[in-house]
Formats: sequence, structure tokens, C-alpha cells
Amino acid sequence: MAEAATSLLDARFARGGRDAFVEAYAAHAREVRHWVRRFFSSAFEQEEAVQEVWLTAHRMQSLYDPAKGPLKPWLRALSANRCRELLRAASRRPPVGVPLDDVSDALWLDAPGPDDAVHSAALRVEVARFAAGLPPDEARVLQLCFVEQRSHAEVAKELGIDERRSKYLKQKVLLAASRDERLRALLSESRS
Amino acid sequence: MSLALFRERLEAGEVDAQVRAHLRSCDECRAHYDLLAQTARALGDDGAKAERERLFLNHPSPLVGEGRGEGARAGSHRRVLAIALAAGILLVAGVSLVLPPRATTPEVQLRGSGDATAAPFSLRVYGKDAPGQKVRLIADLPGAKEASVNPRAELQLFVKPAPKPGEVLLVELRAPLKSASLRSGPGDDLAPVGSAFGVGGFGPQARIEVCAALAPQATPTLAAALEAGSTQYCSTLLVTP
Repeated sequence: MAEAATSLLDARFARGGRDAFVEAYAAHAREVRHWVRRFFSSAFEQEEAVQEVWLTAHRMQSLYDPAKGPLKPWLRALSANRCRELLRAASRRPPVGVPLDDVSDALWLDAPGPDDAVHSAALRVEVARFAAGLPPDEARVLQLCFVEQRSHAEVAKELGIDERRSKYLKQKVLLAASRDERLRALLSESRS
Repeated sequence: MSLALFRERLEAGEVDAQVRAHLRSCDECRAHYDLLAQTARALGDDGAKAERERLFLNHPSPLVGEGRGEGARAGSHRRVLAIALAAGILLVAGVSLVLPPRATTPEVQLRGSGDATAAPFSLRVYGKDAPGQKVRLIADLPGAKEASVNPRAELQLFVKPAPKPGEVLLVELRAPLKSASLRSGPGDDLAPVGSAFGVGGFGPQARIEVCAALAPQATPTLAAALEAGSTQYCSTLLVTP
């Protein structure tokens, strides 16, 4: 059933149009983000590269042929190629762990990074510790703004505050977290 | 510019195109942005919402009605409507008219695309039809819009006039098998764009889309240039044996 839905989406994507592109984006955005992170350690560069990948996918939408294979490997190869081009354009070498050439449609990108699981578990512990030390209103803002991705209007309504206060509290929580020594150490470890 | 000028905007999450342009060239601000973004990610914000908004809300035009599906259908509906309207007017007036040919406008136009004939530069494609042969001018893009090249050809792009100091011409070559990004180098009147390349790598019967835009020197890619408001001019190189 899921496979049929996937191949339907692939065929729609090949026919073109905004709706199909938006659906393909919704289906594969998380994977593209994961693939791009293997090439860039900087969050800013990752964000730039993700935009580049999707804009390239949009430009090349008409060239995708579902008869030659599903959309996911096409996007994976496109992501790997675009990231390599961006690194080349900046005269930089790919990070250690990125093969020089792909012989199998960048299949290696689907595997988790060597320390992903360890860092995720350690981060969860540290974030829980950090959240436990926050005043109740800031802990609630952390949950609503960061975890649930609510807008400031929604957060303001939920907490009975105005939007400016919601923005202020979000900024306060983020700055406090960025200055937390243990969180900071773990983040710099995962960057390197 | 120092971090102090941008710190407040970064910390307030007000990262617009102007701030992003600065981040591309400022290591100090980028490091601060990275720390905040990675902290936000650790707290649970995976950046998906901002990414989606940036892709779809800030750049709606490339993602509207361009496909072979809905764009074409919308175009045909518009044509049917126009024909019906014209027929109605003719019937009411009772007069036979010969309609002038309708100006054809491309239905597919990428974000920031400009009229090729009005491009402020000429992208000269010089090349040899095969190794060892004489170099000749193959095409003058984007005005020519389309040119054919031999799969054995070796090409070198030049831009005329050379971009002004502080500017660069960014070119992207895109084909199903391969794509490449090129930047103009220094030059007085004619400036080289990237280095020489073989056409064969793009595939034996490829259709290479060549898009170019002038942008500030620090702009890393064509997409970044378009995002910052540059106009791109596109044309096609057909690889034909």
C-alpha cells in the first residue's frame, strides 16, 4: 500500500507542478536534511545546502523519469552531487567519511553517522537536565516553541501572554541553553 | 562588520536575506549563528519550519504552475477562455475579423528570469569541435537562446563586458547526467568564466541548460544570487552528434 502511494507520488512528481513538488518535499525533506548534514558540519551551511538541493530538484523536476527508478535514490544522488559541487565551489574537500565518488547512488548516505546514536542519547539527557532547571514559564515555552514548533501567536494564546513576551522567553531560553557549559561541550563535540 | 551589529538580529531569530548574505562572508557571525542553530536543534527545533517557509513562502514564483502538469493545463484553460471570449465578441459584433497572432510568452519561467535579449552581458561560448581543431566562437548567449555543440567539443566560456569590480558572473550548466557551477575570473573587456571543459561529460545527446546571473563577488552560488534579487538569463546548449 505504502509502496503504491510512493510510486504514485513519484509519477506525479515527474509530471511536474507545484502540488507534486510540495508533496515530494513533505515526503523527503527530513531525508534530504539528514543527507546534507553528512557533508557540512556548520548549521548555516547545512541550511544553505538544503535550499540548494531543493531548488535544484525543482529545476530538474522535468528530467526525473520514474521508469528509471524511485524518487528517493534520485534525490539522494542529486543531494550528494549538489553538496560536492558546493564544497568544490568553496575550494574545500569533503569531510572525512564522505567517499570520493559514488558508485551506488550515494547509498552510504542512508546509514547513520558513526556517532549519531551516542550523541542523540547524550543530548537528550543534557536537554532534560537543562529543562528541569528552568522556571515553569520558560520550560513551557521550550516545549511549545522548540519541540512542538508552535507559532508565537499560538504560544501567547496558550500561556495567556502577548507575542512579544513569547518571543522574549524563547530568545531567553535559547541563549541560556547556548551558554550552558555541558550542552555546549556536547554540541562542539558533535560538530567536530 | 562586527558580530556586535548582527548579534541582536541573530539572537532574535531575525535571519533575513540580508543577514544570510552577511553570514556567508563573516566567519565570526556564522560561528555564533551555528551555535544558536545547533542549540535550537538540540532543544527540539529541527529547523523544518524555517526551511519550509524559506523555500515556499519567500520563493513562491518558481514553485507555482511551472510543471508539465498544472502549468500546461492552466495555460490551455486560459487559451480556451480567450478563444471563447474572442468568438463571443465576434458574434456580437457580427464582423469578421482576422485576429493578429498572439504574442507567445513562455509558460515556464524560473524565479528571477529575465528577457534574454536584454541581458546586460554576453556569454560567449568559444570552443573546438574536437581536440586539435581551431578555436571558434560557437554561440553568443543568452541572446542566441540556443546553440548546438558536438559531443567531442571542448568549450570555454567568456563574459563580455567583464563584470565590474566587486561583481562576478555566476553560471550554472545543468544536464541530467551532470551539472557544474562556474564563476567569472578577472579580465578587462572579456573575462573567462570557469575553466575549459569537455561537453562529453554531460551525455551524448544532452540538453544543457545554461543559466547566468551577475551578483556581488561574495555570492557563493547562482541560487544565492537569485535569492538576493539578481536576475538570471537562461539558454540551452544542445549536444548533437
